[in-house]
Amino acid sequence: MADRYTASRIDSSDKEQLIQLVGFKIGKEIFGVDILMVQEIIRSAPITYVPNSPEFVEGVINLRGSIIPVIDLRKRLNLHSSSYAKEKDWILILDIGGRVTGFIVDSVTEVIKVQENSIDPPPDILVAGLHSQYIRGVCEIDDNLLILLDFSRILLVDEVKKLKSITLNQDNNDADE
Amino acid sequence: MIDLSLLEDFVTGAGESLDEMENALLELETNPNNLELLNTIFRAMHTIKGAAQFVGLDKVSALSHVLEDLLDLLRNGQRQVTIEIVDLMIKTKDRISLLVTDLERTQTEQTEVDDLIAQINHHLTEDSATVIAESPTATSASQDDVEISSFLEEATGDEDLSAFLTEDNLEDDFSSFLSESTEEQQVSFLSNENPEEELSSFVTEEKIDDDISSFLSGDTQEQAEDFLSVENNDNNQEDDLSEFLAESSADNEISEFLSEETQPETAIELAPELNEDFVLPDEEYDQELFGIFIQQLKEKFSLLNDYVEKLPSANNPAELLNASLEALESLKFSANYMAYQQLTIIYVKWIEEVIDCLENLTIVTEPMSFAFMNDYLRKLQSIFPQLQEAATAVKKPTPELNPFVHSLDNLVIDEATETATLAFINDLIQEQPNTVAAEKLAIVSIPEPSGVEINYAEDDGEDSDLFKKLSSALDSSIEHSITSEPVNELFGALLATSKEEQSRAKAEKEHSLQLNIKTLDQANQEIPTKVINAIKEEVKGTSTPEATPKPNAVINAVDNNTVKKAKTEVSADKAFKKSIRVDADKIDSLMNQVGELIVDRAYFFQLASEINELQQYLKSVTGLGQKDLKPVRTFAYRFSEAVISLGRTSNELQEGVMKVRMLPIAQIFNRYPRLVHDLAHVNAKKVQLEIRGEETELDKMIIEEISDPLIHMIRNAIGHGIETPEMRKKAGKSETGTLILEAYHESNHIVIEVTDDGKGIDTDKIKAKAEEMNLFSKEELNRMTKEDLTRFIMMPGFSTAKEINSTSGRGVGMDVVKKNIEKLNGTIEVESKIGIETKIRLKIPLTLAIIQALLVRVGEDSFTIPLANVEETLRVSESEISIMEETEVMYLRGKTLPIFRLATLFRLQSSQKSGETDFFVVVVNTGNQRIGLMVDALLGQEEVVIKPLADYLHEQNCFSGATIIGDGRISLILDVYELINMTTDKQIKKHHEQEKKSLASLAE
Repeated sequence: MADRYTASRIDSSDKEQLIQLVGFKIGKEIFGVDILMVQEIIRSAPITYVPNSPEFVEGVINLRGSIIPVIDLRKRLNLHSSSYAKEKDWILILDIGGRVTGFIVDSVTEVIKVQENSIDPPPDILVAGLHSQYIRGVCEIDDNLLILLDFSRILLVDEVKKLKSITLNQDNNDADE
Repeated sequence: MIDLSLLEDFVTGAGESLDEMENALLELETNPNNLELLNTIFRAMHTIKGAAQFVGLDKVSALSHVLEDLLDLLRNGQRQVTIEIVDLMIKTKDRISLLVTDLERTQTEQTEVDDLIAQINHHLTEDSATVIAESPTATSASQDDVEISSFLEEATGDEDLSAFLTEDNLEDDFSSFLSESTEEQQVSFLSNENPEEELSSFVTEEKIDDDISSFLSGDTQEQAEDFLSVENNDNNQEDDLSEFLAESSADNEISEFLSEETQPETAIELAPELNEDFVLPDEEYDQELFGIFIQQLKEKFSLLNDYVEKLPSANNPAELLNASLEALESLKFSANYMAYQQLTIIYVKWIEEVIDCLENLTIVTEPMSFAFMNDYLRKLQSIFPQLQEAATAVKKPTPELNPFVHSLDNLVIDEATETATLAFINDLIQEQPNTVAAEKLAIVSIPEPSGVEINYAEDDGEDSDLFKKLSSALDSSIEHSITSEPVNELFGALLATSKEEQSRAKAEKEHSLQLNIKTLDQANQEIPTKVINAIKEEVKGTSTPEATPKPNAVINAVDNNTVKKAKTEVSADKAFKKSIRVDADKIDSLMNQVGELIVDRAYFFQLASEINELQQYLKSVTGLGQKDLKPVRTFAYRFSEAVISLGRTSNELQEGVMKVRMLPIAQIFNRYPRLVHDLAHVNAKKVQLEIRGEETELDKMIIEEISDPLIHMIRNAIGHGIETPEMRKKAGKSETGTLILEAYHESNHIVIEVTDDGKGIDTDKIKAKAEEMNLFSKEELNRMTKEDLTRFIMMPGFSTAKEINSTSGRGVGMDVVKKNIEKLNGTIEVESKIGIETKIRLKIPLTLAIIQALLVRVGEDSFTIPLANVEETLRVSESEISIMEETEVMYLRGKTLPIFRLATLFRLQSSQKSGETDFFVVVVNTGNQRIGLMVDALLGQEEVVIKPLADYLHEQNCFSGATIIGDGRISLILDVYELINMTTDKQIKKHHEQEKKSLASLAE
């Protein structure tokens, strides 16, 4: 009795430090994003290709009248492309500091609750071929490593621009060749 | 010291006044004898001064004050308007603008003004010297007279008063003065819409003038005091006032003047009344402002009351007097700000006396009489009866509570004896219980503890009759009021409340109408009729819960003949308060919503056509007979009907919302007279600016965007176009050049033309310069048409000017114009005839949010090209296309047209089969450059809503946005300007590569 009581008390006090994440998968890796950033999750919508855009920008979609850019997270994070062709994509619509952007992921898992203090800072070495700058932290659930992504960095404009100019230069080089 | 909360209002208000003033000043330069212009300037200046004083801006008010002095001399013809003076005034105006900018940014007045004040004062003293020398009537006038006159002028805006005041025989001159000032008053009240208010202010002003005169003439200090006390004594008032009127030889004039406006018998009677009425000119004020004003008034009044009580026994009266002086000053400012001119006069007078008293204190040590302070206080009290209460309940906080409601309620409680009268009115009103309707014109309700509530509602048809009844009812109550102080006070309180109610009533314009009707006592001419502002209070938390909230209305009293007039006034008022200020964001979001609706509408249209297809399908596949298909057919028909109706409504809605964003182009055109004036001065040219079509409306955002380009164009026109007067003379033109700014609508575009009758654009010079700059070879240049050459002026860095001066010569201007206009999806055309004129024509879409566009298809994707950029569409066979310097070109009516395949540009898979020989080409232009875009198919023309793209998609690529087309898919909108730049960049790159290659091969 008493044990249960204390257990529940611990539970409630820990609740304050619990954060809820939306888990999703790209390839075999599990990623997480704070649920408060997620505006909605949609199954693939018709994507309109935008010519001359950075490579990882898949295009734009029409989300009930708003035009929202869609980024292929796999390409953006330079992850290995999966060997099998995915049947259907999921698009996570995130609100990143007022910019609503869609991210294509392979699949979306359930909402994961983790304790704030169980999140470790990103290791110095690369995780799953990711630059640690995009990682907010990692934590372990059920023997799997969950990577919390820092989406505001993923969408840093300067970086996007830089990437874009690189792709442009590549294009030009291609043309030159 | 500066009140920050009011500062914002001041800055906006001053900006408007300054603009108005500037326009008038510029006109004045060409038309120095126009009195109306001077009046306009004066009004603007006075508004600024009043506001500045109220907010507590010392420099602005000091500067505007001296300028007013100067203006006054000009207006009275004591000084001629010269270029010099106009320049000085413009300088002053600029300085005030600077101060306003200071205030906007730092909330302090930083710019110095002393030098200008000294300059103006220099002019002023010069003038007063002239006045003394020239004016025979003012031979005895000393410097003091000028001071008095300027002081009076400040208060009343009537210079003649001073001359009048210096005369000994008041009565003889009174009439002549009156007849003079009648005209003057009419002029100065021209801006006033309300004839009755004009009348009342006029009459009160006369009365106050008389006050001032008797006071200022010095010999009758007593008389003035008598007069003041008379006013406070209700029982004697009628007699004394009629005496006053009888004595005054002016009353004929007054009545004459008044009879123009209203009935003669009302006229004479009006005069004594207005003393109470005058604080309430029947204008509508900001309720908030009025609240502040009253609050301040109450505070100061209780302060003053305090001082006056202490004064006789005080050890140091000077201190108290100084303190009261301070209070009075602030009262004066606020009254001035509220434009209560008569109240201001009282304050000014009061201040004068206090100052006099102070001076006397230092000289004479014997006990002074401070009786005059009491007189003034009483006078003020008679104007604002509720002040008495404020005086007793000093500083008692009354948050949330309407002070008037309270004073009103208290008064009513005191007023049990008047119940009979009220009941009588009530009875009368009950006769018409059914007429409470939309046409409700007036409601009088006095919340009363006994539950007596008076509602007077009247119908259009029966109004005169009813008003007659009410009139007599009110009259009888007025008779009571003459003998009984409380009722008088009640009406006074009502009078004051009505002010606040008016502003509230303004908000509820549907039901609340303001009636402004003069009382007429037909029975007895000797009894001065009360001008009553009666009011129905909207009882919020007051002591009469049974009173249901009713639309507010005001009756200023009743005269059966003035009802009609009142009605026209109401409509005039309505026309006056047509505009509202709305947050631009709200309109933008509304605009977005409408955009969504447009998209939905397109979707519905598509559905309608799909239903038709479905019908065909059903017919062919199911083989159902006509009869079976009938419901389907009917449904399809009804559906398309509904869609069409939806289309119509949404079109109207779209237009309506667009109109909300529309502003007349006058907003920016009005800035240019000054620019032209200054530029003409700098360049030593004579230029006359003509503005046409300034009422043309266009989107607010576009207005902001085209301001800069227009400035460049005007600078060009004056700097390069219009010749110096000598050159013009030689060329046989008039010395003054004409610059025409014209705006007009052309279908969905607005066209702005800047035309100058100057020397025109010399294409030979351009040719020479282009050759010099090595832009093109001589042969190429010789082949170019005049239009091609003219376009060079828009190239960055291209200028034929031999030297760079402050206005022009760097070759930037037209490039900026071009860039800005193209950003707006506009086009720019230059037409020039050497020696005759240059005309630059800007064609800009009316709005940026919704555009007409051509939809094209490339591969699977559809793209949108703004129709403004589309010149034509062609169907071209392969044989017509040749290759020049690795670029595909075709000949179109004798000109080469480079052609780009959109599929190649965008790296898309074209759906064009290799065997096909026919292509669709869309010819697009950006004013002076054009290219052909090869597309797979043309999908048609549509109205599309531009939606922004994320910034990283927007930058550096050739899309200005995206839009959602009927089926919900996204179509990217081509930024033709960027696209052309991109293609030319590619060409240049190719060119360079070729050069490199050839160099390399040479090296080998």
